[in-house]
Amino acid sequence: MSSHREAPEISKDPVADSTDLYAFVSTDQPDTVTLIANYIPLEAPDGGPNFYEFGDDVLYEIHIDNDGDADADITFQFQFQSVLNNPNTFLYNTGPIESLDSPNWNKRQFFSVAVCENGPPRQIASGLACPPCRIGPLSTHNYGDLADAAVHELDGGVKVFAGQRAEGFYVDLGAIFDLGDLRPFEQLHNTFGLSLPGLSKPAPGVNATKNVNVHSIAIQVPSKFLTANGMNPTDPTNPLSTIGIWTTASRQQAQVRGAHNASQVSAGPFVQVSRLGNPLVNEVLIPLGKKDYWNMQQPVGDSQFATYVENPELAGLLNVLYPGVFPNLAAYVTSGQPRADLAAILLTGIPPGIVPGFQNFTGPTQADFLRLNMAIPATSKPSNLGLIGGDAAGFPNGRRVFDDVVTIELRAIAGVTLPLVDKSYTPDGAAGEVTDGLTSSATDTTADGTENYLSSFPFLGVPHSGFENPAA
Amino acid sequence: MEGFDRRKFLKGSSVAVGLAGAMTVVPGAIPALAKSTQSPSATTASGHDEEVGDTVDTNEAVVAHLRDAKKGQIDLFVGTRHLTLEDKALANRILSATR
Repeated sequence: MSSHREAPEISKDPVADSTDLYAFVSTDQPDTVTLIANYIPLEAPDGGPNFYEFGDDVLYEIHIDNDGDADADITFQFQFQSVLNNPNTFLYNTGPIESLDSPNWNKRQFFSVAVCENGPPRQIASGLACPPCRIGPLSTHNYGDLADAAVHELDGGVKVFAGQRAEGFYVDLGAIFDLGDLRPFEQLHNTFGLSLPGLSKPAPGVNATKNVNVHSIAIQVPSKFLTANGMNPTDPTNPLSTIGIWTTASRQQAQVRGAHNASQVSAGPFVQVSRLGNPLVNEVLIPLGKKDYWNMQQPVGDSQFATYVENPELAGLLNVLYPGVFPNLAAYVTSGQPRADLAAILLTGIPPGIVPGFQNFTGPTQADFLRLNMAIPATSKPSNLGLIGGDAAGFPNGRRVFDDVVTIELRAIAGVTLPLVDKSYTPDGAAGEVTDGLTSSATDTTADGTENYLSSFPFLGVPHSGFENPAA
Repeated sequence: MEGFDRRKFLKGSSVAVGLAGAMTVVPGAIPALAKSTQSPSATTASGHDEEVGDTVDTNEAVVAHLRDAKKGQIDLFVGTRHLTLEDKALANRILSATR
């Protein structure tokens, strides 16, 4: 998945497991940027009685680098506190939850927001209510209003929301992890000599994340808050218009379980246990033996992982899995030349002069984070393929909720972006076609199960209801 | 956005915002970030090593880890801090207590 359960250790710690990160110029407030960090993968909507919530013992952060040194210049910190109103019932709610202060809602959660700017954290808001999980028509029948009430407006036009949302990321997970058996191209797969029914005909993709939920931390911030010079970014060619964004989750170093009355004691410094910048990097590019280590590192040290970006294992596998389909890619892999295109897209940003009118270069320091040129305005006619679809407002210029990052990265790894840095390279015909098959066209921004994106903050749709999912 | 002061925002002078009910339900319940002595990204596995002083809040949980008994190295985790002390005698007493 994008970063769901992507590493051995964090797969055992869902509340600290970052799943997706989004950063884009807001379509509802063009002078702002929306940042969304998702946690807790694959929430079953009906997962009661202890419905999903953020970890009270986890420090969630969204970091911004605005001067190209790959260190955080601004960090937003989020911490949560659960409140149990009635410990003598097993119920999450004892009646319909009509409002965020409903006495029927037994297990609530609140959060604080702090900001660090090259110094200690300073709290800017506290006691902010999260919405409940979407349980069903009896418990949370007016869910849209409940969620709207949990969008908090802070000073200076800042909005913040933290709570359950519908999963917006889409991927044919079953196909990809069954030895790369992309359903639209099954007839081209080598199938390892197996002749099984259903493996010989092209088929549409299946969205593995359809009808599951996540927990989102979303903050909408005026763009000028985020620039190094405090100015509104208006010039795409100005290096200060581009920022780097990544999210981390940290836990205190020492934990004692069952310390007192079955409670847990946490002590010591917070240590990073989860990290996410670009989608699929730790998931697909970093080898299994390095994934936990990668999660604990800072982006500024990512040159140590550059070889996995420049020599992706998947590029070598494509021609094995699909014999004869990617001959040019196979020859390039055999040549041993590093993939400078992938290094630029994922580790430094794209310098000026590569894509006409566009750059999101943050300097030579290799670091995995989303790079958003905030001077590129949002578009009303987006391509889910982002930059490779001719839409500079989308991935890898930041990332919007509907961007088809699986297809984009599959095509990039397959060689479609290699001519950006090597004019002599001709991509294989299949490189521009490969996909996991979940969108009907580049203008399709509603993959199966993601039809409920919102047109305004917090952009990810209302969660799927536990009563209706799984469907009868 | 008129009248907005970026410095004011980043320095945290904006007021706490939220439901009045929420504010009364959880007074002081949100972890006080200002108490933390860690840097915002103090996230490496090694944490911060400090000398033990007399500033420990005795109301806070203290977790001790006897890292190296021979050298008498003991890690103490207190609040959001990591302190290290070297005390062979104490290390020996801890070891003795486990036998």
